[in-house]
Amino acid sequence: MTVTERPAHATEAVQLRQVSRVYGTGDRAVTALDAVTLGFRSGTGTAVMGPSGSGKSTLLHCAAGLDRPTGGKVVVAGTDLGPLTETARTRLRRAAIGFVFQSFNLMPALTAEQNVALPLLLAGAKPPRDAVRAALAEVGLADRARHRPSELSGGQQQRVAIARALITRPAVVFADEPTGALDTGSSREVLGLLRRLIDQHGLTVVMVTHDPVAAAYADRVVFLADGRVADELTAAGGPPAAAEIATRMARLESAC
Amino acid sequence: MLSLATLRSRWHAFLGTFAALAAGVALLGATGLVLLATEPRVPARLARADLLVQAPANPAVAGAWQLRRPWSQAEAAELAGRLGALDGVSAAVPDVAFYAQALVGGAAAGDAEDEPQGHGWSSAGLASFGLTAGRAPAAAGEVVLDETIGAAPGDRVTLLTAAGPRPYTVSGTVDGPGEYPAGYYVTDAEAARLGAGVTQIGVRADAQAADRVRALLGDTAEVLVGDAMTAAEPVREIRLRELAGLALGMITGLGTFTSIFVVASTFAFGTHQRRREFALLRLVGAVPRQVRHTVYAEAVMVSLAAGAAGSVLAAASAQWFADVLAGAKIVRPDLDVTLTWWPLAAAAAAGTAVAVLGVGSACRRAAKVAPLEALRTAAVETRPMTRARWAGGLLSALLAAVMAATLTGAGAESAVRNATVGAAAAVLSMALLGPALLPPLLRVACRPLTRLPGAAGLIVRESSLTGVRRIASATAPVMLTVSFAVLLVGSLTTSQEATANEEATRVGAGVAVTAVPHGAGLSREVAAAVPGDAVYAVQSTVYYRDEKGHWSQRSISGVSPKALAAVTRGHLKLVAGDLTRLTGGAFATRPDLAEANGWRLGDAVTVRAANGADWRMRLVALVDGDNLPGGGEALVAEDAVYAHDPTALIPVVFTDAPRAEVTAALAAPGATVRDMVTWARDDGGFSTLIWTFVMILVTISAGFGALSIANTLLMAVRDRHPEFRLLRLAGATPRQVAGVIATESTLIVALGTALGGVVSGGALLVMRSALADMIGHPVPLTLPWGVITGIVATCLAIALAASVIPAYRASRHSLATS
Repeated sequence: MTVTERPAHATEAVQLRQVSRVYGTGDRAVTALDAVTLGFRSGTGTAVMGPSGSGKSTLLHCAAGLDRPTGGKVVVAGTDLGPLTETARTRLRRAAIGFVFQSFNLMPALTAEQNVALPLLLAGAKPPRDAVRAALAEVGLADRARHRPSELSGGQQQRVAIARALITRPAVVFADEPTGALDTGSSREVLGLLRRLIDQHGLTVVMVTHDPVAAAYADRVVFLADGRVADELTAAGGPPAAAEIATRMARLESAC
Repeated sequence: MLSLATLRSRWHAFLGTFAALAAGVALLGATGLVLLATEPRVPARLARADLLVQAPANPAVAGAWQLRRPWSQAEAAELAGRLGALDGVSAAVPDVAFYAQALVGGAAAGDAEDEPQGHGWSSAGLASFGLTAGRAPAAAGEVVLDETIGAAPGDRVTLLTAAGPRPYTVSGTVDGPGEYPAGYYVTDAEAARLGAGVTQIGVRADAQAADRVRALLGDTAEVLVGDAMTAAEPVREIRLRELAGLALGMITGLGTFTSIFVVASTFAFGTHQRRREFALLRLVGAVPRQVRHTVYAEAVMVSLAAGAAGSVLAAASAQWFADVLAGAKIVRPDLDVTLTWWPLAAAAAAGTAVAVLGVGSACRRAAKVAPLEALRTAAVETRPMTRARWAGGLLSALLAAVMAATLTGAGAESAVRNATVGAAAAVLSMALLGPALLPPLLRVACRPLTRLPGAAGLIVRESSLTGVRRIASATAPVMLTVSFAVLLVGSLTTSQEATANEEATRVGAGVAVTAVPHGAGLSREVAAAVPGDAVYAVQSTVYYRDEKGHWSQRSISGVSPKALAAVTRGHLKLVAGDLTRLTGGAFATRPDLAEANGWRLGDAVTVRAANGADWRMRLVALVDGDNLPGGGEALVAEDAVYAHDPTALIPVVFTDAPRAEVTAALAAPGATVRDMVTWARDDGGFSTLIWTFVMILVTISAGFGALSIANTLLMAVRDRHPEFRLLRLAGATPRQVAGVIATESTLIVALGTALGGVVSGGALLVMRSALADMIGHPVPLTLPWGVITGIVATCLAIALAASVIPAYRASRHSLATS
């Protein structure tokens, strides 16, 4: 990271430059990501799609600083992740990145409110009660603040997870199959919520999914195959249509 | 907040830690309270004295009791006269003591370790107790004794004395302090005849007299006032306190280490179960240090609660604990525990320290969990064998191999030590390498199970093979407990048996004659009545001042010419001089002792004898042998010992006469006749004491082991609810699910027992052959089957209760809840 780079990419919350990730060594080496260069603009939603084994999850893990790429460079909110120590990366993740996962991943011992406040507590801040309540209200769960995850439905748990991802006002939220464990109704609710957060609060969302309907909520769809960017769909006028996404996916899968 | 919330919602995961810490704190706290209560006290026999004037003590010598150089009775009387003439002194009583024990029902009253219990009636004026019936002794042959003996005024009793068993008439009884006999009081004239020198004078005086007494005595005697008078406590109590310190130290040490082990293993297991939770914490922004601190905080909070519970338990059980220890003869019988806060606070603090120590490695492991682990959908069993586990396990195995290789050719003692260290290393290595060693063992152990009708065998086999870490965690405490018990108890019984045989062979006689049970020793009269070639030595102590003016105490053995002839035929070798001249004031010693003291043949040495008189001895012979007869540092003529110490006793008489003949000859009371091996096995209650120690240690380790087993299985069952649900969905009844779990728990206990038994049994066999080589004939392998069975049964019962009951309950509900 150098100072001169910053203005040029100021509008991109996350940049991947020539990022590669190889698992194993020698004959057993598997290339999950092959010199991928991608940028995610602030205030937009991007869906990452691709067949199984195309490197979607690896891309997300590397972009979020959860996994270390074997080559290339990842810059999040203007900071190069490469030279950072584990603790420094955690601090950056805490401040700049939010996560939403398929399996919700809430702490079972904590209430909804406590789960939302957790990132702030870990950062050593005293979480302002209003902010926590506001985040829960934003996801429509103001009345469930004192419930534990086991007392909430799947859709509600996922909305608590979204509130938790938002509480630190992150530069980017990564979502890994956020609707994978939800029924159609709950899925629509969660996706609508993410879309509204992008439009009204300028949130940056990167979402890995294999569901064309979910991808249709994004501004841009990136297709991965064999660890490379194979295709891309953007619609200037509005989000890409699910049918078009499904066609491209089908084409990709048959090419494999 | 997070730690507290975790504790609240996962309380069952901390039960084992809580129980282990609470038990540890209770043990520590109760031990502390009991130790405090063993403070020295002034014996009731001297409680009414205002000052005690004691003869100067010799410097302490390792392995021997510190004795005081006696005054002769004449010196003591003269000193008492001068003290009595001082202003403010109302009485000064020389405390004459002689050997006396009442013979009650074929055994001696009191204990062989007691100091001489016979005193003159004037000493009774110093005691806190007094006559409850009858009157003071007025003539020779009359005695006042403790009412606990059970004799009333006018009754006839037999007193064992150094002169032999003697009939006495009870003239009165006193109410002694409790379990200790108060003593035997005869007329002062008879006490003077039976006693040797005097080591203390009891003084009744006003508060100001102490300075005048000190001024009079200068540094020729020690003056004890007030609390300092506790120094006059009986040697038996000092011994007991040292013993209690040792025993309680061992209990504390073992309790601490085992609770560290339990805390470490439960937290290690819990941390493994909660990897996903830690990964999640890392994912939402916790740095490794924060994860570590979360786990530490949990441990500290549990330890605080356990500390409070353990302290209450300690306070409630301390008196009971003291009574148990008294029953095992480790503390004095009438110990009163008073509650003091600080030993409890110290125990609770130690509990927290134990928790922090025990949880350390689990904390480091928790902090190492990568945030990515939260994203893996399946809870894949990570590789259970870490690099540290491999390294530790292989190193321990190497140590065990080295110990086994160096075993032969070493001495008996080092053979026992090497075998023990080797076995401990082997057990540790097995515990560490468990996850790697278990799969093939499990396959073999499950083979008979899979042949059974029904699915249980198959399910147990597959689920234990995929959950090796769980099986290893549960097997380790069983293995540790079993091998600890087998090794400790087995090596003790085996080596005891071996040394008893060795001792019996070494002496080479047929029959051993000793005092009646609880008796301190035999009189010359009884020894003389033993038929055949009787060999014995009478024991006494003399006090020697070297050229630099340092005093030291020396043990001497008096032998008869007949005994001397018998021992010189055997293993005693004359190096120089002439043993036929060992009469009157002559003595013989080992060349090394003579050299150390600078004595040459013909030199004269003046010592102070037990009766306080000076004794001029001349060195007439140098003899060599492992031990001089009787174990003394010098040999003198038997008559010479009695001339200087009328209280001298004979510990044992050996003879080659047939046992029946010896028994017939000793029809009079006052002796026990046994064959050599039986005699050698009896070491004055020492082996009973060791046995008590061992049982305490085994009980503690088994208790913590059981806790550890229960906890591991409880935690494992909680995590297997989805598995139970699947079984139920596949058509298993709750009983069948419980059956699967029961089979698995039994398998775990069986594996642990087998592994522990193989390691410790192997070590015992090796130890046995080493001992047999040493003493030249086979050593029986004595295994404590009762103890082993008890421990295995306890482990099994606890394992079944901790796994089957929760599994049954869970599987009954599992269909409904999901």
